[in-house]
Amino acid sequence: MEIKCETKEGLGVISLSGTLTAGVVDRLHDQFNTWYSNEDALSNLIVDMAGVESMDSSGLGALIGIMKKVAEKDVEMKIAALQDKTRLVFEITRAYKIFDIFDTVDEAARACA
Amino acid sequence: MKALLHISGSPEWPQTLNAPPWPLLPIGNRPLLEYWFELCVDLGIEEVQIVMDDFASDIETYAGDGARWGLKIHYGFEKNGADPLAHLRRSPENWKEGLLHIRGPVFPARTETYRADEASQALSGLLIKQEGARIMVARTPEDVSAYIEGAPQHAISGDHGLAPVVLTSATTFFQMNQRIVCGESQRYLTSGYQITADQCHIGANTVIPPTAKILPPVMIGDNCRISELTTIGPNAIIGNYVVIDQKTELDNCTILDGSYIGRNMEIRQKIISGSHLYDVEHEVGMDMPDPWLLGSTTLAKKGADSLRAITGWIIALPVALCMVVPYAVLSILPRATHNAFEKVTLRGMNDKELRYNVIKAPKTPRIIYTLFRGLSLDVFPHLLRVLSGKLWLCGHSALLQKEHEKLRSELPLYFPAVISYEDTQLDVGETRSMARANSFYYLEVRSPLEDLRLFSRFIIYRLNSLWAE
Repeated sequence: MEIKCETKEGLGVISLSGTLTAGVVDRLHDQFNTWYSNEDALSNLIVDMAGVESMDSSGLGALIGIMKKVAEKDVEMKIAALQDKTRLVFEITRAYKIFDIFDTVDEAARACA
Repeated sequence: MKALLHISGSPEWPQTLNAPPWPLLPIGNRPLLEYWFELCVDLGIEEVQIVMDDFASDIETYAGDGARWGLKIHYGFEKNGADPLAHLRRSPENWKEGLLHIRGPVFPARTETYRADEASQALSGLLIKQEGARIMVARTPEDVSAYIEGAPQHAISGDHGLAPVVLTSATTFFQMNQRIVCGESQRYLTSGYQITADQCHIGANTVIPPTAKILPPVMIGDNCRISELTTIGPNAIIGNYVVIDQKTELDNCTILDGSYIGRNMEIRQKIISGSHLYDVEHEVGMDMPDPWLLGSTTLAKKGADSLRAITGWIIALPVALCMVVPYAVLSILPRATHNAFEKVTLRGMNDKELRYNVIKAPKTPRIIYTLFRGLSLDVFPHLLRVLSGKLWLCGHSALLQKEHEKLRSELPLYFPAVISYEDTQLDVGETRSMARANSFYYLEVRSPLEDLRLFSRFIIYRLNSLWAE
């Protein structure tokens, strides 16, 4: 699992690729917390899921954890570029009702503007 | 007239579903092969030859000698990819009285005009030929020999009662199931059966709590467990031995036998087969590597029983250790306040006699009793028996020596245990028939994961009862 956290003009983007399952959520949390603790000026966060091939309930739980954490500072989180298989997980668990989901990162970025 | 049913060859799409062999794929909760047999019966056929290669044992286990349908079934084998007519050419005299030849995953869908008693007159010729699958009815020796020799055949037109559908993909399989649940099931009824006006079919030994909502048309198979606050339907087909956890909604879906669907899920336009999920709308399938979302209730049992024993022991040890002190303290008080314990004789492992201490409910509510039960301390002595190998942690409710003699004689396997479905809120069995239903259900779904679920439900149920008090 590759995790890349960056900030572009006040917009935080977490790019994930690989498999988002129980084995990697701790690393995701650690990496996110380290990065997020230094980002005070964020107003929006996009999680780019284009590279995520599969995920399970732990991965979904990790995303919900991140959403809760950023919501404490009124940062809005959006999910972008779900692959077919990961979209199925969001669909059957009703997670699509919790997250704002966009087809591409650009669309998500436009919605933040 | 005789029938030759060719079930050799393995189309790819059933394999991607992780489903049973394609001839046993359920259409309206009945295997495809059964519809073929019924067509044979309607055509007055008594002798059936099944030619197969893969999954021979599954087919033979299911169909047997065919006596169930009044047929005599013989089995033959063929190498994958062989000419399907070569088998007929080997002994042409066998088929001179007429031939029904079915090959490939083709469903003999009936139209509204189909009449079983007229089928033997109405059906003749090539009913369908598509993507290697076919249904051919040749009545005269001339027709048979022309067919065997490979003379060009054209599918007959007009409404003759059958409009066969070749199951070319998971999507066509899903659509066929939807057609059945949405009203066509009555076309396949055999005498002695009827469809209820509300189009709600619920199988035997299926438990549905009052808070579950069933929205017809639905078909639910045998031995299913539907949890509280679920919504099933409309247009849902659920196979046998399916477990659906709380607050889950299912509609327009096909759930195959032995699937577990987790809590708070939304299943729409999907096929689920164990832990495999297929999205009909986007024609995408995937395995869910997560037993909390999707799983299978029918695991291989041989290794699973040993694993269950080990898992039970591993769970029982720390739980028993945690209970030592509270039990020592709190067990004195019930003894002192009322004659709290009684001994009963039960059937243990290998039907050996087992003296069992059971805590009695006091006539008036007592805090100590509530605390004792809420903390599950009453099971402490029995956990020690799990550790010494005399009981299972989860399994059947230990049966009484005399009162349950009949039930014991019916059960092919018996797993006397500390915790059973009767001990949890979900599957409370107040009656003897429920206890029987639960016992048979457990035999089918037993697995280390099911034991974990049962154990966690038991603990939550007991703590909830403590909180409620």
